[in-house]
Amino acid sequence: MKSESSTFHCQRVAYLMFCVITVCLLANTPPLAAQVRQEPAGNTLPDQPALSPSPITSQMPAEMMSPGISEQQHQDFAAQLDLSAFSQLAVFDQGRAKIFDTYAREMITNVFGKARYRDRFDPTHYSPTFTWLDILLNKSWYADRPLIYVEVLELRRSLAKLLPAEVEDGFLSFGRLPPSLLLTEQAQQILNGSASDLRLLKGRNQVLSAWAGYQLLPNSLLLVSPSPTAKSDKWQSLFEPTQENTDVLEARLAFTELAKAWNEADSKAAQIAIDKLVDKLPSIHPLTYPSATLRHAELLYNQTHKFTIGYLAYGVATILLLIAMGTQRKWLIRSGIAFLLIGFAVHTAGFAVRGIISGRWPIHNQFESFIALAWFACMMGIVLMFAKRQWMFGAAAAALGTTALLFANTVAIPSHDVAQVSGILATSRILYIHVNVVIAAYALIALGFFIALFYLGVYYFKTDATVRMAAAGLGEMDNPSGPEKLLHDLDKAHLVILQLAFWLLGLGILLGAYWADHAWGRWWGWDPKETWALITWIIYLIVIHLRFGVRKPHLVTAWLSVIGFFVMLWTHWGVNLLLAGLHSYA
Amino acid sequence: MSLKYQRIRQRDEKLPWLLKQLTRAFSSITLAVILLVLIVCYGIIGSVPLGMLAQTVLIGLAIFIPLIIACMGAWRAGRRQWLMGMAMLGLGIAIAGMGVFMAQRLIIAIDWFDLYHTTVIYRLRYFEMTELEFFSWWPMQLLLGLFVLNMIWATIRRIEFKFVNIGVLSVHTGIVILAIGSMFYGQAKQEGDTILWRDDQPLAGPVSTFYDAVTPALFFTVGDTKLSIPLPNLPRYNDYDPQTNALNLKLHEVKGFKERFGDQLRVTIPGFLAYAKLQTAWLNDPLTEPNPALQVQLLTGKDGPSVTSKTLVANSSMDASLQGNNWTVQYLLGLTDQQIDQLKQSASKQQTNISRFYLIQQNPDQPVFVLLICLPEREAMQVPLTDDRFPVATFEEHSLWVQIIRYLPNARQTFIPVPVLKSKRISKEEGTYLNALLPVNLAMDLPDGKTWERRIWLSHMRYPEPGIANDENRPITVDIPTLGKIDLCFSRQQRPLPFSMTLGDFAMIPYPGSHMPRDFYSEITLHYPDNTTYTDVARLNNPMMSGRIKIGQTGWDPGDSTNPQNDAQDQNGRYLFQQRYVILGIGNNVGIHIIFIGACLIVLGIPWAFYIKPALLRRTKRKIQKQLKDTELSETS
Repeated sequence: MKSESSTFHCQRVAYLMFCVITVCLLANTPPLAAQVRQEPAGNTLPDQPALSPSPITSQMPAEMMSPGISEQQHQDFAAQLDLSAFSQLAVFDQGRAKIFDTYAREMITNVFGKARYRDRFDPTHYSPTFTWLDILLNKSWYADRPLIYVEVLELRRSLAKLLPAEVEDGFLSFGRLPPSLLLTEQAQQILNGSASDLRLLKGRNQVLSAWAGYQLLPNSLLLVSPSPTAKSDKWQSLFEPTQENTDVLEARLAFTELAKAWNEADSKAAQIAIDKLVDKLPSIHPLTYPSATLRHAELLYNQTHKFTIGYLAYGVATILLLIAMGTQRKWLIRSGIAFLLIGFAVHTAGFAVRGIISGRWPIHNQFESFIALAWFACMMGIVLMFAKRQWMFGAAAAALGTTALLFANTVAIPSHDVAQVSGILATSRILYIHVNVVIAAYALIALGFFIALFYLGVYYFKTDATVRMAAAGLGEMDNPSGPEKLLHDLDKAHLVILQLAFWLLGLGILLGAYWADHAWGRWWGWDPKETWALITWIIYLIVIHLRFGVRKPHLVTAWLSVIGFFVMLWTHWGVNLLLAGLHSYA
Repeated sequence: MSLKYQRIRQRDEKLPWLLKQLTRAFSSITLAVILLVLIVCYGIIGSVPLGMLAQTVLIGLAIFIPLIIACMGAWRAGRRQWLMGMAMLGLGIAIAGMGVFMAQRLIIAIDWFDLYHTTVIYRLRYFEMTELEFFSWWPMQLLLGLFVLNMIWATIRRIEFKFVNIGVLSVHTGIVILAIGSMFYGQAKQEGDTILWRDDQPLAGPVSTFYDAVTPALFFTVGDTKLSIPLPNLPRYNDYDPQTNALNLKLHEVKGFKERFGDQLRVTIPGFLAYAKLQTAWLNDPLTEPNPALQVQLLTGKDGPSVTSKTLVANSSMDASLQGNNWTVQYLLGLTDQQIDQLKQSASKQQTNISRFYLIQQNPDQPVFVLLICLPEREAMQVPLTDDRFPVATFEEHSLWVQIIRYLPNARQTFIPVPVLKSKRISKEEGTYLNALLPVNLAMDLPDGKTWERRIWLSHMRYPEPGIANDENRPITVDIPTLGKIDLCFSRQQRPLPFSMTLGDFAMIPYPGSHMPRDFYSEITLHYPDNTTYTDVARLNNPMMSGRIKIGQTGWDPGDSTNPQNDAQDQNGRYLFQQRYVILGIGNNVGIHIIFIGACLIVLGIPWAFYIKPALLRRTKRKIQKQLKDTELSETS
């Protein structure tokens, strides 16, 4: 009774804390600074001419100049447009044909720092497709809005100082600056002057890249797929003079009408032009145009955060399986397994769709290898769970899947966008095997870590509840053994995973050495990634040998498994991100 | 402990004490684990920068020491009173948090952490090694040697030589073979790269050498003959002051030098700058002709920070002005009043929106300036320059100012080596010599008893070949009295090949519809001394082999993407301004088969030891149990 009331009390405290944090976060949101859009204060030196008109607007075709619409008109225009079909049109960018939705997300991320634009003055959440078309066709709308992301704080501060003092703080905290500011000579001097260090230089390049993205014109969109009979396999713009197909001419006309209607905020005319484009573009060269299924799959991939929403099912599975093991309820086990399988199905779908979109087995970069690692671990956990009828493997797989997909969902892991990989990674079969084997080994190490935590929990808290939980986890719900036997069984289960991890990691390292000899001309170069992979392997070599000579081999194994897991994380992530080496592209 | 080891240990008792301890130590698993831990430590310090490592250790200690103490306290207290245990744990977490905060403050306060943030141990002045050299250094060799010895001895003494143990025996044998193969490989390994020009290019021709990946060299070219002196002792990562002759490498004492250049020429390398740029600079040299110059800087605001600086030289068309987007400042010398009036008139007629500022020094001997301000659509104004700064552009409430820092009456242009700030260096280019500057002192004893001396600065040329040279990276020609002209070039050691190579065709194969390389195609012909030839294609991940020598794709000529003609092709579809040459990686692979055998033994031995051996033992156990059962049954019957 006492423990129930304390649990209830804890829940209330947690709930209160959650409310307090939420309120604090909301309260901390900077106030909207409407003054930003005030007219420039004018020159302080009377002898100097003012810098106007803005070079951006002056360079734009007259038909693309916004006649000046209100916030409400802009919102209404956005609401009345149906861009769902347009967002599935293909556009060629960065070496691959992608749907417009993907292209828009990537471009907005480049300019704004996030895939979805959020205006400080307008709470409406526009779709990425609408925002990017708006930036392409209606640049002047954004000229004085906080749009250009400035990542490096020092640079942001020095640029924001050029703004009027009353709005400086607002822009600074929002992290985005108006494009019109970057046109000023002082801003250009800051961006093109000498940099004191590489970080600042990198920051400037980021701003210049965002600036270049903002300046893109609609005629740079490569919307026409290559002709199957043509010599060139390059995609083309609608406005390229070589295009003579009548479909192209009609699509070109539709695009021009779209631009005109967009500037006049005429949603009906814009919708007609959009529908015409949706109809015409895929039919220009249908043989080389990506299939509707593929484009739809890509849209689904984007809308589900690359299927990382699978963490929800994994999370429910983790909770259900833990409660089931704690309360000895078999129906909860069954429910937990059902959710685990749902989570795994979503995870698998994400992995598969990524493979289909990219046209390769997706293990080539940080994001892909992270998702693949978690997928391998969950798969092995599920296989072991069914093979040995030990639910603990399922709980470990679910916990790992939750952590991994939640992390991938909330953190922008490097290379999360689908892109072409370096040629050296795309032309070797042995490299595929090497990477897959190492990822499988890392997955087992991660799974082993959760089993080790389970072991340590049971070892240090040998209460009835933990023993019952361990027994349930080992599939002995109806006939639980004593704590020593349970610990022994847990160690045995743990060892099954670690032995396989040790072998696969050794095999993976040697396959990598074989590939390196082939590709780089040297089988082993003590590159940081190689060194740390060897260190990880040595830790498990120590585990295997220490078991022969220590008093509590099971406990030592569990602790070394925990250490090995963190070393593996460093090898997999830290080395790539923090240490320079030959594996920097991996 | 195996039965075999128990028997052997009993026999060991008869050995002398020292021998007994030694043999037991080398049979022990504890020593193996200690050696493995030391190898891990060596690997950590050889791969993680010192600053980063120290930070991690400091923060790790700040977290773990209070947490471990708190956990132990909480464990003890929690048995009696769980609330007390929780409180102790909470206190531990709070102290750990404070510890992390203090550690971070310390890291920010002490410059050492920042200074060594990207410095791995082998980059320190004492070491000056490559990654490979550090891991081939004697401490690592000693650790590996002891580990191999330990493994051999422990295997012999502890493991029964039975079929069932073939797994562990093959893993141990594999590790030993791999270690021996690696030593052999390390001793005989040669690797580097070379450039091959496409057969239609003017520089195309057979290539029978390659450039070593590691060892730098200095090339002396006189006419058609070339002498290369390897510089294996040249540092890589740190600067050595040439003024104090910190290095003093005497190249004239190298074998073959005197035979070629005689006794009178002395060549020394007094120092080394690991990461520096040669910059043009204007110095005030009273010994030269009068040449007035003004050192100015651009400020963001009247008292704002400087964004750039420049020396304006009135007599230099290149350096006479400083320009912004819509303004320009020009330094003019020796203008008469009449000329100034003409300038005013012409400026007021101009239709551009550029503001012009003329700094006019009428008398070249007197640093007195007038400022002529010519703003668009306004009358030109002439004002005496009373302050050292004046505004050149404004936007809203802010402005750009030009400040005069210094007047140089006798400016002389020179090249000075300027070390690049650590924060501006590209980490992966450090230690590669790509940005290094090598001072070379040349001294020649002349027949009249005098000595001719000269110091030149050489920047590194990855390939000392004419087609690759540019303004910054090129050989330097020195005219030495009585000896003539010599080209000096700082590059890499050249190694001979047992054949010569020519490139037929070369193509970069891009991803469809893009310029991103997916593969490369190099059609290479090898010409052997016996006049036979062999032609094959090298691709990415698919090198060409000739005996033990491997030739693989390493780099290519991307051309100049800013050149509008970059994509131009000839009538045969060959690019004219890109893909003209290929860079091929070349290396021998002596001993790789030994390593391969070792690796196979390890890979096959592990599953035997983990999965097959237990299965065999279980089968044997079942057999014995069955036999015992049968025996018992037969006895009872």
